[in-house]
Amino acid sequence: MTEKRSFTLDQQEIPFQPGDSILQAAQRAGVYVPHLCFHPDFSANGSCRLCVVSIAGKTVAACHYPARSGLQVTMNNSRLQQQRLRLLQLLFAEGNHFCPSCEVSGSCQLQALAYDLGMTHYHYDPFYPQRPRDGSHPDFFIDTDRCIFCDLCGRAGTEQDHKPVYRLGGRGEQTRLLIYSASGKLGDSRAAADDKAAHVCPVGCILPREGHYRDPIGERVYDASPIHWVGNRRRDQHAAPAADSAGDPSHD
Amino acid sequence: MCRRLRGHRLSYAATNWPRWDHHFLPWDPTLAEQLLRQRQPTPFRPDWLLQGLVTLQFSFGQVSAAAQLWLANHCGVAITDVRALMSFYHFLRESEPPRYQLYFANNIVEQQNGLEPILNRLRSKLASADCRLETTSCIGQSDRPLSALVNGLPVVGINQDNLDELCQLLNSGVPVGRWPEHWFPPADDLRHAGPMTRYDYHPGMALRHCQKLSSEAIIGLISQAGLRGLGGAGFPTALKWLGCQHQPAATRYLICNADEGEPGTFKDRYYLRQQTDPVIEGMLIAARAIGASQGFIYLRAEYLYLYHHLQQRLEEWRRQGYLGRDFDIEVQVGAGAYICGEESALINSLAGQRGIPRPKPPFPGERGLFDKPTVVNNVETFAAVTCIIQQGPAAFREQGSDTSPGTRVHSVSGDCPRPGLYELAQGTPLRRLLQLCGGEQAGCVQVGGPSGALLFPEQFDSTLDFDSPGRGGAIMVFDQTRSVADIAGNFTRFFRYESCGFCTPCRAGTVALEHLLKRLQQQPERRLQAMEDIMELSELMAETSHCGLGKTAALPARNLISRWVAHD
Ligand SMILES: Cc1cc2nc3c(=O)[nH]c(=O)nc-3n(C[C@H](O)[C@H](O)[C@H](O)COP(=O)(O)O)c2cc1C
Ligand code: SF4
Ligand code: SF4
Ligand code: SF4
Ligand code: FES
Repeated sequence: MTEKRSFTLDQQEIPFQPGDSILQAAQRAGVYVPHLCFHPDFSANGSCRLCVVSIAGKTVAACHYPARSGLQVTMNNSRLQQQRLRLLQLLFAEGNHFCPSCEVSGSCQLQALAYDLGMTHYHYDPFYPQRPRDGSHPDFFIDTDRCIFCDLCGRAGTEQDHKPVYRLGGRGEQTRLLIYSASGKLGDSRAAADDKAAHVCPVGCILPREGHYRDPIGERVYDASPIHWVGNRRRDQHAAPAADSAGDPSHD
Repeated sequence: MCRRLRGHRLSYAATNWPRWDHHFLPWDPTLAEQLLRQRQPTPFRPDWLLQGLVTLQFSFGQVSAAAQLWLANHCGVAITDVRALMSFYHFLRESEPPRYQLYFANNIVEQQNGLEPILNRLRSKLASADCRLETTSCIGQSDRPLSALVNGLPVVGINQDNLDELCQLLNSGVPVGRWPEHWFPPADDLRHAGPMTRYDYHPGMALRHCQKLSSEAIIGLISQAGLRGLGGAGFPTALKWLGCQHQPAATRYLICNADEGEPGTFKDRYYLRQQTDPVIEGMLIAARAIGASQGFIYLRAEYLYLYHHLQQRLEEWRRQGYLGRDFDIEVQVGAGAYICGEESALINSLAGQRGIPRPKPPFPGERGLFDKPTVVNNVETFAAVTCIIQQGPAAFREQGSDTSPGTRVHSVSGDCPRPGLYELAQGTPLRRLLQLCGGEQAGCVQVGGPSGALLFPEQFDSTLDFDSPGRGGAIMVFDQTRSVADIAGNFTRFFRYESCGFCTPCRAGTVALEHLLKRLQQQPERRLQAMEDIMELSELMAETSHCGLGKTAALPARNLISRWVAHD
């Protein structure tokens, strides 16, 4: 007898494949689970904690937690939504964000999730950290004020580009984005314009120099479609699909 | 991997690293290579990168930019990987060292014993001396406040009366290793010994007994004894071993967690120094039970002064033929990061990485060091294993409760006349321990370190075991004049400082929590809101953090608020 491989996510039945995490299975089934540090092409990290879900009263990260038959997973109750909101507010408070004038405003996943969860203020006192910028590269500008330490750039570098350009260093609140080069500057690294690593940043930390402020407000990626419809997108994955194509697996 | 294993078969001769009888040396690559090779025949490997840095740090007092590049090139890693370690481990320093680098422990016990006034007096007196004064989290000497690491060596019992003498030494230029004996931690005397510390130990007897038994039979004995891990969590040791032993794998690793970082804890210091052989023998027994081919002792940098002694004892076990054939033990040294006591962070650190905890599952028993099945146990747990095998599980069970059998050693510090180490049966009431150490009049007691529980007189009948608040281990006694808010503030700062920074709720939450505690004190008009925010944030951190540090980091602040609410 073959056992049916599925679990429930907010009462909805979700099939899964061996080795799937809750988040991977949900995504394949077209169900959006909030996330920032997860990307379907790369190994899970588990650092942002936006994907928290509850299983038998225990809160776990859906991007890591292995799917198992018969699990009853809760994703959307008011408590978990509130916790996600607070995590976002912590992410905003610990960096230096200035959405209205930011290059990626409208296509930023952090900002899009904040809209989605109805965030109206920081709630926590801003930390005003001192973080470096790096304008040494001809194609990219780096502003670590906006880094959320998701390590997507690091993972894309190791797992897809097979060359190290970005990684995280430091500890605690002093965690920092480091660049693989003797000077520590991007301009001296092996970074190239078409590196996957340079195009996975969910926020505006690794910034291509060209092409900003081109889309008028109202036509940017997340202007028309909230992130829970279209999933995580970059500016180059533009065309906004209709609501019924939510979680289109071709997007992350 | 192959090269690694062969390397391990070589014996680690007693080295003359670290040395304290002379000052830090000027950078010299030839000497650096000698020092590294003394510790490890094949030191230039990515997974030994951290050990390389630690060796250089405690020889040259710094790892200069040139030294970093030298090591990176020899290990075949990028300089950026070296920088990632340098910026994670707090004792690794790039800047030119002063003649004396002082790190004062800033745990609450030291704070209450006049840390600030001492630091201020020192600063004014030492203005011209070549000294750098800094603080660090607990260095495992809270029973002898104040304490400081001087060029890596713990100096204890610093107070206003002997401060002039200390200043003279710091002005004199005498290498710290030649300072008068009384400045250094004496051998530990237990204030209260028990069956685990005072039995008639015969080196090798338990091991020889195990050599006649199958691994299942050995694990069976530990299971009959009901031993639970003494590193904090109290996980059944037999279950952990079984989980690893069952894994189909050719290579398994065994790790002794000697990172003892929980402020106020110092019992491993005692075991490593006075019960070294039972600890090593416990590792040999465990290795046999799980089929491990290589063992490690992960020694916190604060206990580097015990390194020689450990190496000497290991060498003796090798000489006797117990160690070095199908199982050997390497001592690796941490570099100042409390999080490396968490077993999966420790595993990453042993592999030469930043100490970031891994996601669980998979647990180390399934996939641990170099992705091989690995068992991590605390120092005291290994000592208990030897005791159980030599004396029999029934003897172990004679003390303690059904769910927490046996005894354990508690580290007592703070406001009591007899701080120190107390071995007591599991389930002993806290009140009994307070009587023994002279702390009956305490206003409150922190049980289990900062991640434990703060108990008040009405709770002193609570017992010390794995099923009770705080569980025991580190006992900090506070008299009635001490402020609960100061205690919570100190612990909160500790967690903020020691957060590894991996996950949002802890990396940013610990900072936000400190802001809220400040607001509580400084802005009375926003007090109610701050209290609500702290309660909410503490739940957020407890529920969504990646590892135990973040899960417990907000407890002190939370307890403070609960206490106020209950008494307002
Ligand atoms: C933040 C954190 C710090 C820890 N520090 C230590 C430590 O210093 N020493 C220790 O033995 N266990 C420590 N632990 C517990 C270890 O993860 C692990 O449970 C223990 O070493 C297992 O040994 P045992 O089963 O013998 O107790 C820590 C856990 C956490 C979450
Ligand atoms: S990175 Fe995103 S959240 Fe940050 S300022 Fe830019 S748009 Fe706003
Ligand atoms: S630079 Fe971007 S992708 Fe890299 S860690 Fe920071 S936020 Fe993540
Ligand atoms: S809870 Fe804290 S220490 Fe643990 S992984 Fe998260 S940031 Fe690191
Ligand atoms: S998506 Fe799961 S923790 Fe970030």
